[in-house]
Amino acid sequence: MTRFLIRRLLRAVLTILIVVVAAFVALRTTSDPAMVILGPDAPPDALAAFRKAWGLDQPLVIQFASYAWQILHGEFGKSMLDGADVLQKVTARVGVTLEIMVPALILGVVFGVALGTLAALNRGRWLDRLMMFGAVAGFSVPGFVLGLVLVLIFAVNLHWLPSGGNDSWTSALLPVFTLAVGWAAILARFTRSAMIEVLDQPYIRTGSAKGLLWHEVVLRHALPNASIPVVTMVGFMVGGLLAGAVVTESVFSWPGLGQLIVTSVTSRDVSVVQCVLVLVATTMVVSNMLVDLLYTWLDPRMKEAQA
Amino acid sequence: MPLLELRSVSRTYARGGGLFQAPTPVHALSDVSLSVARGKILGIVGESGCGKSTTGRIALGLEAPDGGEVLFDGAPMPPEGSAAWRALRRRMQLVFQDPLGALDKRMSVAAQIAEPLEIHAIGTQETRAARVAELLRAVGLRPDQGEAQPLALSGGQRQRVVLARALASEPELLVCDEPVSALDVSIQAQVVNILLGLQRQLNLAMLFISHDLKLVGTIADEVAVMYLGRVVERGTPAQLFAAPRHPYTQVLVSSIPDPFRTTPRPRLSGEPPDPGNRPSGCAFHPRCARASEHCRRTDPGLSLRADGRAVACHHDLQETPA
Amino acid sequence: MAPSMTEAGAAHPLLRFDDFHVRFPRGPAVRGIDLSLSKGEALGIVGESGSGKSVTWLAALGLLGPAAQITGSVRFDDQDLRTMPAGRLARLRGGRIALISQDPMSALNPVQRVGRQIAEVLRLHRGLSKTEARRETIRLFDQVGIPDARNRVDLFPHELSGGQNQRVMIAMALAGQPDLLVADEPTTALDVTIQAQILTLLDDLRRDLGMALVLISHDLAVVGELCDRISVFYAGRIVESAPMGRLLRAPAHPYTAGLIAAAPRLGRGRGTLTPIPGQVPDPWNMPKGCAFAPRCLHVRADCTHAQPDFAPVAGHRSHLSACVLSTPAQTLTPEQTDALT
Repeated sequence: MTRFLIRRLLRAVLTILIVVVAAFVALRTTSDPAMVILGPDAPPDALAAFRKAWGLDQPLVIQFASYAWQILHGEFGKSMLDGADVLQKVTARVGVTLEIMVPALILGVVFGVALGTLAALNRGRWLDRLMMFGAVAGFSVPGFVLGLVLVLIFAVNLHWLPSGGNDSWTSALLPVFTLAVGWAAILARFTRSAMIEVLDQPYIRTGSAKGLLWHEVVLRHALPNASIPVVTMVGFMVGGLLAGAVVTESVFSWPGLGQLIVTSVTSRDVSVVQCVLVLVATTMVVSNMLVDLLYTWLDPRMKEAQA
Repeated sequence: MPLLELRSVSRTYARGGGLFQAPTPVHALSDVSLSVARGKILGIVGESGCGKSTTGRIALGLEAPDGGEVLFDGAPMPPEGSAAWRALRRRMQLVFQDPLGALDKRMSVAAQIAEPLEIHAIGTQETRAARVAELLRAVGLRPDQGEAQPLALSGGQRQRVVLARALASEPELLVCDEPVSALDVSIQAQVVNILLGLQRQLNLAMLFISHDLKLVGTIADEVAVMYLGRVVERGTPAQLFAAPRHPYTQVLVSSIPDPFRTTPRPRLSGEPPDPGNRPSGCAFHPRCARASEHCRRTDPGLSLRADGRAVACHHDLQETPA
Repeated sequence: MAPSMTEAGAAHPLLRFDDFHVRFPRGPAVRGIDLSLSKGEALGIVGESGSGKSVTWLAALGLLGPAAQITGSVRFDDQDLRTMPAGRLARLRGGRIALISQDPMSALNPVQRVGRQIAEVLRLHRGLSKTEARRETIRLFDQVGIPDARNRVDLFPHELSGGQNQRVMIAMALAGQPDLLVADEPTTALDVTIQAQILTLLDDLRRDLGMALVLISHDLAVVGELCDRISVFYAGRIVESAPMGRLLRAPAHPYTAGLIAAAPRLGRGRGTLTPIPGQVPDPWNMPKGCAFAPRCLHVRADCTHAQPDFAPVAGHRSHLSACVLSTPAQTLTPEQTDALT
């Protein structure tokens, strides 16, 4: 088990390192931040001064070395755009994004698992077909379409809810709902197929043969087994939590991390983009590790597979 | 001269292992010597993990032994993948337990029976069609059933198709690994009888691997009993089943369900041990009622007896020296 | 004709099927079963796949799901299992009626420790506390011959061998102190020496605990080892029922005789299997009359008209067969058959 942990940890560090390098190279070689930030008409000496100030005149290797040194010390530098501390700028947005992502994820998991289980238990009947139709619709309609439709209905026509921003808790309702629908739809499909597979296993009949009532069999024997693949899916969702809000935040003008990514990429605010990427990569890697650990706890057969 | 001969064949797998841990060697086979002549059936029996399926794969050259040698028609088995090895495929075929897994579900069975003919460039387009029809009849199917896809056939019919395909290239050796274990008794007898009829008619050498002692005892000319990767006793069915000499064979034979048994059911202690953790000396000693200190230390090895059978047991050797 | 009147133990049957049918959307699986079982009896059920031998018991225990249409009656200890509320039937399972099935590895929940899976039964049916249940689980493990019980209860199914898992299943069945144990192909997935151990265990337990045993198998020899009486199923019906020795030595139905001839037997010499020609009819395409007629070597014109009665073979009250050949031309009344024995 310890060996497994160490191996996973090494792999995680390596993944983050690759992300850092790739992001660094991609951002520096595709366009010149000085040109983008100061504008194409900026005088050459202003450009030179900007490059010198941010170390952009150094060879790429040197730039990377000093950048990596900073990161190792927890320094993400200052925004090229306004000179603000990048880490503060980013963490402030993380909280705003989590305000819609966390409730949306909880709703998505609760409804997705519940509806998927119900569909599996009613396999082939109208309830199952209805729910699976809903699920297919739910994840085939892109988030921005659903978001815009909701804005049209509830903000533009009915005037019940604000169309964007985060002035009051009511402005979170539409983005949360939009995100939750997508997740619930994916999880419902996933849970249903996992559950159907488990319900066909002989140990389910053993549960009934023991004298358990059907709901007891489902709760005690089917769900724990069906949850194993579902947990992986939820893990991926948690991993993509921070990055997943780009579209939704744009549609609802929610001032979270997604918007920050969009603005800093278009304005080539390199240090901000890099910081966000490291953060996103880290959450993905960490959540994947947690899923693996959870996996071995949920499924004892995994322990031997890893040893 | 035997068609197939295994001489002191050994096969070891590595299990587990990693960065800080040496892999455990698993002795799937050690020092196995067997031979089958044309027109003869050698049965191999034993419980899960005894190495009987590995023996079959090594006999076919699908797996190379780590020690010892495999001779086919007097010549050593060429290295896997070589041209000579590929040419040999035509002369030996495998039939295993699950016919549905062995067949392509979306291809007509006639096309699948014709496939080996195409691969080995046997005959022309027209003669192949006739040959497929002949093969279908040989296994007791109607030629028009060749148009069917495997899922439209019953389990017994599918296994007949597999058999027809195996015989298409006119092999000399047939290795059957639990060929009828998935079939119902009444169907099993149909398939076995077809198999036996064709074996006799085509003078095939056959390796018949099964956990079903009664079935092997009914059809084989000679039977090898395997335990933990070794042959512990070899002889004719009459010798082995009427008067088993190795204590393990004795337990196996008396374990066969018999409604009219006169002796109590045997009580073999313990489960078949782990091939990765082979006991010292005679591998059967931890479960043997007669195990002595000698058995714990020294492997008896298979020795030939006067009556033509071979037994790997110290006690048997003392009682009836060859 | 009321066959149950003529069967052994008919006076106070523990379990009794009357004209029991099970139909699936694709066709009938069980087509009229009359069968009774007395307390402590060991009954063998033999048949090939699709004969209805397992479906009958699963249907009786309410384990088939809504797709199965069940008619007729099945009574356990004078309670009708079919009309019983689902909740009461559920609590009968695992308690007074236990079931074990073919593949012990997949019949156990892979993510739960084996001890906990048995404790679940003990708490459900015997209301034991957690510590009592653990102690009793260890005792049951000892009883079914699992060595090192104290530690094995904390293992997962994949950490035990197939034979040990089947012992766990048997311990689970015993946990509810059943009056009836239904064992569906309990040794089919096991090696022959392990099969012998499990059969010995089942035999000993049945005698020690006085429970009735229904042993379902495709293998006549396995059933013959343990059972006093054997019923042979074919295409959803019982074609023959007799005491073990009589059924195996003097089968009256051509199907039973065919099964015996088709099975390999030691000491009979090479190549002596006699197959039954043809194959089992599909449920959606059952022949009129005797379902075995298309495969039968002794078929007569009247075989294909009507289903033959399941009636006593001349001179033997406890030997019943559903064949025109084995039934005396003049069917005997129950009184007459009683007089014969």
